[in-house]
Amino acid sequence: MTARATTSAMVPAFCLMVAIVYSTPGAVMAKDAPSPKLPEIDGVRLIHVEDPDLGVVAVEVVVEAGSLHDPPRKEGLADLAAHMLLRGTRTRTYQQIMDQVNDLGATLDAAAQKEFFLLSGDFMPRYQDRFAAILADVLANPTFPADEFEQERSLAIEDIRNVRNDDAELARHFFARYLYRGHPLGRPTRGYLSALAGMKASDCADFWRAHVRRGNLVVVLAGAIDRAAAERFVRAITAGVPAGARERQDQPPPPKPKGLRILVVDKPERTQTQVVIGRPSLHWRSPDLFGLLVGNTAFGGTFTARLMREIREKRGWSYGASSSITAGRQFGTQAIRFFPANKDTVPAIEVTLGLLRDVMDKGLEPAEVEFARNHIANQFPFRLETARKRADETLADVIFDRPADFVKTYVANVRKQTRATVNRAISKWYDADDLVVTVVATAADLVPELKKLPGVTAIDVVPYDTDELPPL
Amino acid sequence: MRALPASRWRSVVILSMLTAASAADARDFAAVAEEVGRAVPAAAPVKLVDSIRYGRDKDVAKFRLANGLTVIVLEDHAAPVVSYQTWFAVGSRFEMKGLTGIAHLFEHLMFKGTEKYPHEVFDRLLEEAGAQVNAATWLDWTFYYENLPAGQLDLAARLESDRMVHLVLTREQLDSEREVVRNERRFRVENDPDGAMDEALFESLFPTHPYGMPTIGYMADLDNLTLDRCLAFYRTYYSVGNATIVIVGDVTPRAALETVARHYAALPQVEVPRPVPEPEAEQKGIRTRDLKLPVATEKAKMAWRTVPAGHADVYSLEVVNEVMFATESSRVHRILIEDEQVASEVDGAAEPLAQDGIFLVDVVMNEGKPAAGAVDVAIEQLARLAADGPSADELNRAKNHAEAAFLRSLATVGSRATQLGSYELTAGDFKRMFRYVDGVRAVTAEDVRRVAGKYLTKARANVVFGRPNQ
Repeated sequence: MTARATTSAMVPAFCLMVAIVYSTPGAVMAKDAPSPKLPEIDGVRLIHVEDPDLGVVAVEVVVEAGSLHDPPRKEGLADLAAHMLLRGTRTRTYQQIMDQVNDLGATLDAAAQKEFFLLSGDFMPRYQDRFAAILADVLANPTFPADEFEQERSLAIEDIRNVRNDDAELARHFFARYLYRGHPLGRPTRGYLSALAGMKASDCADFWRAHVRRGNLVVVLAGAIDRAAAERFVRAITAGVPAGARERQDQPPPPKPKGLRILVVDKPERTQTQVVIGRPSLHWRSPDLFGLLVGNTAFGGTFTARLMREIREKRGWSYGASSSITAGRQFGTQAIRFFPANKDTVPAIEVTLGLLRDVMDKGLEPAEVEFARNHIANQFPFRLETARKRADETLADVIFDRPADFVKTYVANVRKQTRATVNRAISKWYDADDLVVTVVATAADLVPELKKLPGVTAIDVVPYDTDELPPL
Repeated sequence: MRALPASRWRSVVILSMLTAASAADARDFAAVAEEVGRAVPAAAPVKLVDSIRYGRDKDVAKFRLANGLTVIVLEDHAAPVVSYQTWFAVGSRFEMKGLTGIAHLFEHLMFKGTEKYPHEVFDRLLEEAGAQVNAATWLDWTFYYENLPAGQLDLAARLESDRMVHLVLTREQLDSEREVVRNERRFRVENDPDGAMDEALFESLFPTHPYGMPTIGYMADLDNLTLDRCLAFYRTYYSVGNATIVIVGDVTPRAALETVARHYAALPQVEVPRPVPEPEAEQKGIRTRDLKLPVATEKAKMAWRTVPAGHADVYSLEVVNEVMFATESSRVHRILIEDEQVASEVDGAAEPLAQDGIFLVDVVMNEGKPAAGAVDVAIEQLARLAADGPSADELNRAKNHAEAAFLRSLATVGSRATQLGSYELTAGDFKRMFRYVDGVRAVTAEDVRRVAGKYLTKARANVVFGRPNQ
């Protein structure tokens, strides 16, 4: 199936749940606005949204320890430890766990993100108790068997290798690493091949022991489950989890790029490049968040935004062109993406830098601000369309420390933005000079032209199948 | 690109949730049709074609206006949103050699504006109203969608009805959009190993039938798509008689139907050619192709021709996929990934089309492991299934999966509308969506054994290997 195109005004800050980048408006969302308080079931926080019509129940068991918690030289541990929870318990082998889950028509998977790892899946209500029994066992009784560890590590290594088949994914991967080189935000969730090679099953067991504690858990239940059943489910799955407090680990500020720093990821036989341009951006509690949300939507968030019009509509250079801002709890990232033919790559970068300069110098027009405001506010119902989406908004409040009334005041905060607040946010958070540019391309075709771009302070070239970046 | 929408779109249904619409319900929908016919005389007679009830209180009704436009409505007030989708019964199988890609290119051109709503105004109005707007093209169909806040249905109907007959195209727009599509092809095929392998796989499966030609078109063919040819394509296939409007969400059937009737009643009925290509000849021997690609490890894609969407064997083929490939418990998945540890990914899909069907298997090998070995395992295991059939546990597991997959697929107004449209266009009947789970539940071990032996044999297999070129 082919589709017309892709745009993304804002990307989810973490992929398994909602979370878009929107934050507090200047006056309303004070920096110290209260965070949401969730109900607790025996010390475990619960997010519950009922929809009896749904027929299935989505479940997420979130442990607030993600790749940012990976110890030095053990990058990828949070993700590997999460997967290892499914690799065997005192009474079930991996295959028995999977067979029992599949017998119910249910799903159960594991993954890590930067701030947390989670077990997620869904089940039909008639199998609630059987599914809860499996989940309880996985959370409380994992055994981290050595042979299963070897297999899971091998799959993690193959996952890293398989990213090399996908140019878009490769560009995203190297962009994050290059932008945040030397900072925990630059760690790939799946880790590095060298780090995985040095890990042991006992590292996963240690990670589980250190982080899987009642106070550090959030259980999300959305769908065909009432409150009493939800509470029963939480009690059942966490009965064997020890008590312990919530963790919060702050990171130092990431480095800011100086000049135009370009990383060329050299891959043979490319007829098209994948380009990501960006820089660090704001977090969820930034007073500029709604202003930047409106501004970025007008700049690169829709089919009729400036970036799409100039790159795709006028010139036909790329199938998609977008600017996204992904907020985290402490920091965020702006990423502008497009994928032109080789010959159009440098001109497309030049046009993009020109657009950035122009919007920073002159700001957005009143009509653009009004359009973006209406677009975002009118799209709001889709953020809450399903029980799962509603639950995930609350989860985003918790994980990213958003104010408790974030969702409730969202539309009003968007509507409140003026041309002045929007342009102020753009001039503060956009940059046309100090940026990181990542290009997946056949280097020989492109590097001489890239060198001619004004303001270039570094061009690094790495093979696409490397696990290493040049030193800072 | 030849994406594999089957796994995403495979939808299912719970028969336990399904009841035929009661006589009272049918009469209610008939009354709605009559009322709309009276309110919009130009659309009359408006007829109720069919209806069905599912779940506790959901009804889906299909109507037809006098000019031939089909309208399917599913009322659901769970959230203040609505999906408005326009499906045209034209996809890339209607194309000719040398002119591949026209259905998809034209899908792009549909956003280029009309006299009343010039270029960008269409998108601008919808985006400002909060709509999610896009379109997609596949072998049997092209569809356009707007997911909107409730209350904006009229805007979508007004804009879609306008561009169905009043599109204005210029050569400059065509040239610019052709360049966009070239870039899309670079993105989806030439720089994507999966896309390149899918293209080769479909060519192998369908050497003569137009299903074998890529929906996105060959690069060289894109130059042959002149403005005159694009306009002729528009006049031939874009009209009320070839369209189905699907509306799902926070709107009553009466309001939805009347909105459509008001905007479309005046559009003329046009006779649409419906060519039926010759069926592909029976394959007599395995076909393999080798592609050297910039892949990290070897990959293999396998495919067999099966049966069209309306055929009874689609349910048994779905069970075969569950038993063999779809989950961690499936036989081939388990052998290759867990027991032999030679592969990192195994997946399968049974995708029925309007005139044929496809059974697909995808394997990604571990470093240094040959994909040929995985293909041998898949063929051997399919032969074993054809001989012995599935166990009772495997059968039960597959049926639970089908039911859960159906329930998952009903989450959003957009996904429900897409499924209704897809079933209507490929199976010829949206109600088959609601029969899927019952169909799967009725499958026996003997059915599974029979279809594995009939369709999924070595002699009917098509294999494309992707091997590292370094």
